[in-house]
Amino acid sequence: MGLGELLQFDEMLRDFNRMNKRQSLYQILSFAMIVSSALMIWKGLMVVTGSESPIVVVLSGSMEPAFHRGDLLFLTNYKEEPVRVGEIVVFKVEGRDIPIVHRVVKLHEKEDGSVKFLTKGDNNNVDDRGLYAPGQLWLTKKDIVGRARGFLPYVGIITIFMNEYPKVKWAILSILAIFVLLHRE
Amino acid sequence: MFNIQTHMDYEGQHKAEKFSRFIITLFGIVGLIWGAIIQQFSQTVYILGAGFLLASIITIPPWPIYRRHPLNWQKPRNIELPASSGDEGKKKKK
Amino acid sequence: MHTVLTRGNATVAYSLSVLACLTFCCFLSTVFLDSRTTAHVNTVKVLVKNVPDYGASREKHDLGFLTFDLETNLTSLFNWNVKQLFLYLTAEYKTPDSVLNQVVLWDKIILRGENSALDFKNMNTKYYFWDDGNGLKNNKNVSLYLSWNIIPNAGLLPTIRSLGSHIFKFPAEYSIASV
Repeated sequence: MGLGELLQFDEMLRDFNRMNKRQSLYQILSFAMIVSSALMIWKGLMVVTGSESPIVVVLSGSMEPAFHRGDLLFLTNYKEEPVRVGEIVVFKVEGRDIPIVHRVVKLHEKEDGSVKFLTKGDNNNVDDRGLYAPGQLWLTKKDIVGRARGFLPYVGIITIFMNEYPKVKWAILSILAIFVLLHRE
Repeated sequence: MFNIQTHMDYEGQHKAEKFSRFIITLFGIVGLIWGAIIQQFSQTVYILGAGFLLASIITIPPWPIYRRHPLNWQKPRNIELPASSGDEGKKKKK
Repeated sequence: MHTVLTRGNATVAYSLSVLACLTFCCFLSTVFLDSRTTAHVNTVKVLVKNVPDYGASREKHDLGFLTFDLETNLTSLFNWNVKQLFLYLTAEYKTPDSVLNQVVLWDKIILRGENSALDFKNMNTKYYFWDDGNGLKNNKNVSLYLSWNIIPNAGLLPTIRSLGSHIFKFPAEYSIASV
């Protein structure tokens, strides 16, 4: 197999050498097209769902057996929709970079619509007060990144793998980039 | 070294693609129906996986049935130019 | 389809798209199903205390105690796109401070294949019933109901409230004796 790959790479380089200016410009443009359409879809989803990160990957086992590491969640974050107990929310805590996916277990809503709530992971024995910022007892609406609406298993495992092995990530990304730039249909 | 033939001829390539699509689609549909009957989506996935394996075995290696229509190349006219062996692969690609 | 590599790549890619398509079919076949059913909840013993809440503000808050009966059959909710049900028992009430209070008192995870016909008698709650103040004593209108969150193989994550709830009231006096 290694031999075959090498041969193909060789062929690709030959292709590249045969390209004229117009063709290599075209390759670069199509590469830019891929990058920008991915960005466009992401930003478009942000607008449609109202969430700053509409798709998240589950990173911990604290919601097992519902969600495992590597499962994908689709979030919405419409301000007018009320938070209710039992919903799964994704929230950020001051001093922690990674958002947490847990379930709302307690909620108090005042007359003016302000709401404070407490979360807990299905697989944890205690509620999340220990995870919040020191002195913080409740979450409010501004802490929410989104609420889980859709679920897709396993798909995010690639990103977990790439985050744990950054070298692999860069290797894969650069191979893909080289392939797109050099390959001719 | 290992001189393993990996090429299929044009007709063989067409056939291989047709077969692999057919097998995977068939297993997918059968799996979906079976999964719906016994209400287990995991069975659907397993059946599709079996289809994938079968399609891989049947259509990825260049079995003899995919090389029954070799191209009849013209005999090279100028025998004194020796650089003709590397061209083959390139021409096939286009 | 000219080398082994490209053929392998094409086969994998096609299989994955078929898998995505099948998953979507499975999702479509279940997304419009009605997953409501009745659950009978009843309280057995109810009392309220006034003790310092060291978990939160350290002030004296109302702490409710109750035991409950629960009877329901959720077998009909399971189909080929349900991996798990997350059941939770919510107490919902109003206080002078807040228009809506919801506290989860008990929960249970039922995976597909496990027994889903439940009949519990005189169960203790799993979590403390702390109020965020002193709104439990003499509260005449506390409703207790079961809800579930459906975790699919792939699809939406609806939370559904059962048909039927139980309304109970807390006593007008704090109880001193330990429970």
